Amino acid sequence: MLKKINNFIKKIWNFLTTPYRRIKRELEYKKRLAELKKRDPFIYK
Amino acid sequence: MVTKEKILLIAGCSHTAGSEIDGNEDSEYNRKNSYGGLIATELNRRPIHIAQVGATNSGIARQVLQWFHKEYDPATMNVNVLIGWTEPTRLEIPSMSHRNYESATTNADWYDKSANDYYRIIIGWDGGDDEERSATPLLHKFMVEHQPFLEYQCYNLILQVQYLLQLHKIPYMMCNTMPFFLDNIDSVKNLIPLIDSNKYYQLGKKNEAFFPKYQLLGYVNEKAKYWHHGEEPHKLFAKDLLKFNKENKCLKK
Repeated sequence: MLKKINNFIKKIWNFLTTPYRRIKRELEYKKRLAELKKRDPFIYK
Repeated sequence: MVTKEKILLIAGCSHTAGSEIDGNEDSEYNRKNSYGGLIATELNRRPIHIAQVGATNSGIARQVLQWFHKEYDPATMNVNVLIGWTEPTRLEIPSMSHRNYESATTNADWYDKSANDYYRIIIGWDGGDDEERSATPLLHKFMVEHQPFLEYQCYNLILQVQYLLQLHKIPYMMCNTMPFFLDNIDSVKNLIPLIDSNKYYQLGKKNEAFFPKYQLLGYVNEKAKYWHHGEEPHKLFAKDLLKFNKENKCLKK
């Protein structure tokens, strides 16, 4: 019973924190992209 | 007995092509005054400058492979090879359409036309046509998240060319114009010892790659629109490579 409650709380927690994790991942991606752009600035237009 | 012509085959990207030394993306003057051109003069070898503006490492490897396949004549040529490897995150994707990258590489002594069968994915470029624009966002994501894959592939390319040149007993020297960054993960760490460090200038030393080295030293090329180095860094880099050559006897006079 306790295990079921634990799993349920985990599911709720994951659901509530999904937007935060998604935004965090997106920010990390943007930061890394900017670093790589700085590293290889040679763009021909 | 036929006297063989002494040649220095020079492969790489825009840095090796001497881009923007005189302000132009490509010119005879740039090629002659690039670090490779200066080394050819010093060694009394005719430069065959095949570096392409905007090249990727897979493109650079192919420049060498295709030149040997199509042009090399061991009966009349005494060839040495100088290769400047570039930024490891650049990708080439095979395409059914043909691009015209030759329009940016106007002064190569020989142009590897196979480059036009691919499109290039460079981190700051969103693509020029529909095919590129539709593929680029996903590939940028891949480049950002899978840098180890891209770097170990570059080491594989280096080994591919190294073994080709060793097989044909061709003297050669390699260097980095842009640095590789990962040497602390096993997939890369296990490959590096396979590379002959006596033929590779400053292997694994990030700040010794041509572009960051002289950028960190404060050199700015006022004529450049795209940040490429001017005449002085090329001279200094050629001097360093020649010193390395003297110690390790990579290229012959």
